[in-house]
Amino acid sequence: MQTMTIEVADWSRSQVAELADIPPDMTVGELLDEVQEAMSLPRDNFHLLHDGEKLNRSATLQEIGVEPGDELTIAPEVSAGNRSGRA
Amino acid sequence: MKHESSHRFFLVFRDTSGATVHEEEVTDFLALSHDLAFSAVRSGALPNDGNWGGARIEPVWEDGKLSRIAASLAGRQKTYDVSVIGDQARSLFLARGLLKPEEGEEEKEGLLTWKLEPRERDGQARERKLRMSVTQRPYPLVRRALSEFGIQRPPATEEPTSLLVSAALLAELRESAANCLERERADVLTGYLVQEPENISIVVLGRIPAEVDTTSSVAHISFSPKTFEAVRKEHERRGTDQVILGWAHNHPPPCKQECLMTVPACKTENVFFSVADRCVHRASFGAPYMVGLVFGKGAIRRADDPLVRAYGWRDGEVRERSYAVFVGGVK
Repeated sequence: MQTMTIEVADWSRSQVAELADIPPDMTVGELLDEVQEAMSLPRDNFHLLHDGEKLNRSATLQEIGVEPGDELTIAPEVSAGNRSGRA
Repeated sequence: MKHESSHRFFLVFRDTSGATVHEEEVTDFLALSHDLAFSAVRSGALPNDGNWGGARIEPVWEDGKLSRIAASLAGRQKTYDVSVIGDQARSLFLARGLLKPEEGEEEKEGLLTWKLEPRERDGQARERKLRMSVTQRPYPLVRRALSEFGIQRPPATEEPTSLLVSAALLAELRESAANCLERERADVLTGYLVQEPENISIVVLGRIPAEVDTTSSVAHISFSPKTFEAVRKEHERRGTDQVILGWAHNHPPPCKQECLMTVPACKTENVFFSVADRCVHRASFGAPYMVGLVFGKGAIRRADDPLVRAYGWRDGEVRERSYAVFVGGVK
């Protein structure tokens, strides 16, 4: 199985992770957990996007068509608002 | 930025009997390392190249108890009060269902308390499965004169940076908030991080509506990863050299449009950065120069004449901050 090099950037492009030797059968969830920790991102509900589509954690990179050199985006799913009360 | 420590830090929640209700490891210390890096870059002690290496986070003990948190980066060190973790504790209250969103924090006050507990690491740090290098981009400082934006001199402020918002943009945002009393709405703010010899100013000039894949009500707005991706693509499409500087959103009054029927206007005031707003800011606008503007009803003030408050990072925490309005734009 041929491994690949890909990039994952946060949505505002302030941090970029370059990942080498990624096996295509790696799941999105495994990749996400590693990148989230390496970027020291909060433990909020983060997801990976590829070509603008939110990726399912259980899918493998091969299944969703990630190819060598592709750039994925990591972005949160979050809610703002006054219903949560004052900090 | 990579973080290392001889300890793992756990947030432990206890009820009034002292029983542990929930505990969870805290790994997000990015705000502290950014605070250190940005202040060093601002003072010229570090070059603005993003190559500052990893940060070290360690507990500071006093009489066997945790007294402060020490962060060090590129030979610089600063200690922080443990309350710097407060927003994360409140986020967990929400995210783990320890606090229901509609209850607000006040109702739980005194029922649950949180404490940060450092625990010494046993053995080596977990080895990463992947070969990965993370690059931190430099802060997007531009060497320009504020006079290019029609600003003769930065306003006097005790804050490390000045926040300057274009009058035209503020009027637009106030109008959007005034016309949106039934639900929350949001924009991402753009502009320049202007570096002059003596000061750094956050100059906010534009906005990108955060509309794709959002859901909202009178008391919340939810952003999906697609929302942020759409904003980024729109920002790229505009082809401007402005950068993303934060976000703005509104808090409509609980009685929505009917609020306008109450004459004179009531004492209700809902312009504040809520627990959830702080979660959004931490997760999505974590760069040390990023700000949040909140528009909402002020006390004895009509809902269609919104009050504005600004928030931003200071000493690793999100705090209310000052701002000034300027008439002008890009020349």
